[in-house]
Amino acid sequence: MRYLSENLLKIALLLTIALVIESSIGAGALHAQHSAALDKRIPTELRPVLQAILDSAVTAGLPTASLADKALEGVSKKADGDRVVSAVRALYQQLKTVQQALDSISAAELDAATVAYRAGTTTAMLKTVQNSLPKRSLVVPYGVLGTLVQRGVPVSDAVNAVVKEAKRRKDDQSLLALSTALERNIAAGLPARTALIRAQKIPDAVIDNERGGTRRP
Amino acid sequence: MNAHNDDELNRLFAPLREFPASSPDSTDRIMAEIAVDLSEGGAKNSKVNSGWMGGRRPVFVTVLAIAAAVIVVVGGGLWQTSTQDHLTSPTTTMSVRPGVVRFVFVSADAKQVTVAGSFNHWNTDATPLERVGSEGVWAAEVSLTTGWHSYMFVVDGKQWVPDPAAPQDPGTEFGPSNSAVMVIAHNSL
Repeated sequence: MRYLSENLLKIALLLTIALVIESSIGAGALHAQHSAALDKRIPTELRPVLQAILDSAVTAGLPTASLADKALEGVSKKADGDRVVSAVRALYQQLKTVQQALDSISAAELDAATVAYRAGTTTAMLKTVQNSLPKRSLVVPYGVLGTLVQRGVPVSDAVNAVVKEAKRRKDDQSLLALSTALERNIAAGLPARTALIRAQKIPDAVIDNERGGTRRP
Repeated sequence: MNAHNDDELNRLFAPLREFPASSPDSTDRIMAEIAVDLSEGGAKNSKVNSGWMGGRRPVFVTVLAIAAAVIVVVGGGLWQTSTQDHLTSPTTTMSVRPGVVRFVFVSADAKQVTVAGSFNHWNTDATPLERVGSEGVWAAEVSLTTGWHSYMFVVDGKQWVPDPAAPQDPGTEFGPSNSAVMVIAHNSL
């Protein structure tokens, strides 16, 4: 009996050591991943605070790539440090707000939904889109929604248009065609709402004919 | 656009649907220059674009040129008036195939043009555009992952310029809004 207890104790000890080592390696890998994202272009004095934001994002289950890219964008554009940190922090909050409003959403969907949110879509509307389009990727619907709202289409109109088009045709091509047509109509001088109404009249034949030649949203 | 015009267009362009050309229009000459230049290695500096069309490039260019010529001759004014609602100018940034985006910038004065965006971590040196033809057109083709990508052109290494005809990315933290391109998955086509 004593022999069995000693062996069990040894096994438990070994398992504990293994777990500690594994978690250390995991944390190191995570840190290395962030360090890679925060490459040498990030000034040394900004790294600690940006790293802290990225670590918080990991803890909160938020994607870190878009946060790191926001920092790199600011640095590449030679924005001052405070501005870079402020922009990354703001994006972190927006990602978190959107994540909390939506159920089980992928990183790519969260990024796209956050684009729509930053453009002016409410979280309630984002939720409406999610509920209306179950069992499909929401990356393109949210991305196109962001495009429409950014161009001045009223949010409710934009949501209705995206949901309607996504239900009408299951492929993402028609959503892109909708967005492209809107851009063109606005460039031609139409008000946003009128541009959307007109964009919704694209014939299916044209959409199908342009497969493989997808364009901007 | 009325139904008659749609039918007419479908009839005119039915033979072209098998071609991989992407929406040529009246600026076909520029389009042809872009295509020829890229086929001869104009996009060779685009790290993610090597192998585009592989050994079929000459066929592609020929087909593209024929398509452009047919459209100009046959389409004429009808093309201008009836299809401009749906088709994109080749002198703008657009996806040429699923997952591959052709970035196009027009500047006769630029000495160097690159594109920086979320897809290359805003590296201003990573994705140079090549000058194609003599019209001040710069182009590069880049493979992008599915989703939303922000970008801007960088002219002569210092001037950040949004794509004038592209959708805008929300947010002006670092100056003018970025441009945006949405890439869809292959299996959604």
